Amino acid sequence: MTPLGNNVRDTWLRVTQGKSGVGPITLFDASTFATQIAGEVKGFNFERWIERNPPLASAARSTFFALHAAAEAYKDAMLKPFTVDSRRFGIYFGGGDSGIDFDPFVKTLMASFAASGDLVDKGEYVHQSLRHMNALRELESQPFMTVTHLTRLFDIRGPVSNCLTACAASSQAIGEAYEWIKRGDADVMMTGGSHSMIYPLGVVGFSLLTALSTRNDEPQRASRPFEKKRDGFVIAEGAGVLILEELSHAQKRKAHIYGEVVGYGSTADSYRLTDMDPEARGASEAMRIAMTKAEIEPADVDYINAHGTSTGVNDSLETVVIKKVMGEYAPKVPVSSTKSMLGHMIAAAGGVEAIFCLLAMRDSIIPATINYEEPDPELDLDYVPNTARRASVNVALSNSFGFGGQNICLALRKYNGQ
Amino acid sequence: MIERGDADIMLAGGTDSKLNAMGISRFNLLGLLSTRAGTPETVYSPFDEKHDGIVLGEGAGIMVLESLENAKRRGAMIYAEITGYGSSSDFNFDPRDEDDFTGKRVAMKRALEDSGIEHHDVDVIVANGSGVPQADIQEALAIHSFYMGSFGKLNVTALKPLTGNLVYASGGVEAVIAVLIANKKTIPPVANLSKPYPACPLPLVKGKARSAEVQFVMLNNFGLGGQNASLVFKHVKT
Repeated sequence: MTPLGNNVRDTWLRVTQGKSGVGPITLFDASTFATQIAGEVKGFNFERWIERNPPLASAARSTFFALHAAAEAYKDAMLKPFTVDSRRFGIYFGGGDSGIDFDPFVKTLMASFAASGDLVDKGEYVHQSLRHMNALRELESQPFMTVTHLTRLFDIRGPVSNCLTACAASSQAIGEAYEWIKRGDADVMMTGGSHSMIYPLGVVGFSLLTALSTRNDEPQRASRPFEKKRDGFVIAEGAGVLILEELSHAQKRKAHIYGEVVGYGSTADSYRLTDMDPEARGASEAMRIAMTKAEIEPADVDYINAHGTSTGVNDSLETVVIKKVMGEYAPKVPVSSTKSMLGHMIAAAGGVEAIFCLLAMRDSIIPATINYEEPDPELDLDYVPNTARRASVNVALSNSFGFGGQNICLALRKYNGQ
Repeated sequence: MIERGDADIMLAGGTDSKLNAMGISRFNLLGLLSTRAGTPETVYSPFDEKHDGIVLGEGAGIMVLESLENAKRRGAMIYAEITGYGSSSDFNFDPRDEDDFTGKRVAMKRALEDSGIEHHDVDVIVANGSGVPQADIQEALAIHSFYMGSFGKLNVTALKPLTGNLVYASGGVEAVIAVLIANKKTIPPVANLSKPYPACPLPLVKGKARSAEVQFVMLNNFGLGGQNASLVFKHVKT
């Protein structure tokens, strides 16, 4: 579920064509905002889900995205009720928060301004909330509710967790889901992530951090990772859901196997709230750990799906990281950022990007970094500029670095056993 | 993460405060808060016939976990060992109207299996004890399903009436206290328990703290939305 399509086929087709899913914000009137563009999911039928599942009536936007993507993954994995022991079917998800129920919140605030001053009367707020707010919508705004709906609809009764490590969340979820299977806690895990922050407070928050691109007149050219004129990331929404399974369990039921998770590295920067460590020690270490666990050398890496947000700092530092880790092979490894086409889906980004790595293996196509016009002299890796490239991909790495200094790297390998 | 060799030392636990207008109004809207009349310190009463919901609290509980070799090598004071962990999900979409306890049972069963012990080896269960009537009943049924009435040496306590419900921080604080229970050989009572709710037939510690030798403590934490986690701590004699 992405700004480029509501299923894997449509999204991947447009990604390989180098299309952009970014456009003007339509979900609310952003005309007075510094940033007026985003990668929105389009043409999704919420009503159809609610008709079939009335308890979803108050669910968050990102919960619908998660369910829709999960249904496609579940079907593609040929899972059916009773084909898997539901107590050995777990979930480790990267589901972001969904913001507040804005209009009722504002009504409650306005009604609880203290008569004598310009402060909100807290007691009155609690009282007014009973009049204006919807209890179920408040419950649904909690990040764990996406997982609750997924467990309910897909009969998942095994181990459960939701991680909130910002932009690294769904990559971390995939790594942990893999570790849980390795540990023997589950045979099958649902994983990935889902998020939407395209609401007024979400956009304002990132705007205040001056993290967002303000290239409002050219939405489709706004996300330009690694390029000289990059001016921030483009916020996007969607979901990417994967089914991980213990190998022999998948073989026994003859499931289609796209690839294997072979390594996962997780580190903390221990540096600054919104900046990366200038020496990028944490991020390099995450990549090294993933490669060590996967028992791969720089020469084995066929593709790196970069975090590549299109912010000045991230793209410079990620280039440094890749050079550090790949050594003399750094110029030879294709590195691309699919965020150039989709924007940054925050907690959901890693899930979608891991899927792209697996499809790159399946189709022998490396997606491009679009909007690459003028090279940044400092950034001299092979960013797969503008056009997707034919190349066989056996081993891919996917980087995700979270605000606050959470660094994740996943190592994926093509499955050649069938 | 320590077990699989990713780290020698981990900081673990949680911190939370819902004591703000938005936090309180959410729980209030969901009808999860206790509205009983009485002095504030006496109304929160899980497993009591008067239980009627949560009293919120705030705080943080943080532990340092370490591989045994690493802790021994540097001569650290070892309070306890985590021997088991069980996680499961159930469909507790709304804790007010479900009566299925099997998810909670699965989490406890997995923690026991992970520890390689039987339920009769457990000396103390620190219950989730949320105080929401239906949730208390579910937890009591889940515990009861192992023992079927013959509780042996088991004592069950609940700590939330003492601290309030710390939501995301509950497990961190309760894990620290669970470890201290074994360390100090003292089991705190379920505060505010005067008459146990008939549907919660558990060996609850009532009135005052009880002294006992404690080797294994099980901690239950069950989240709104149906996430269940159980941990087993083993006392380490120093």
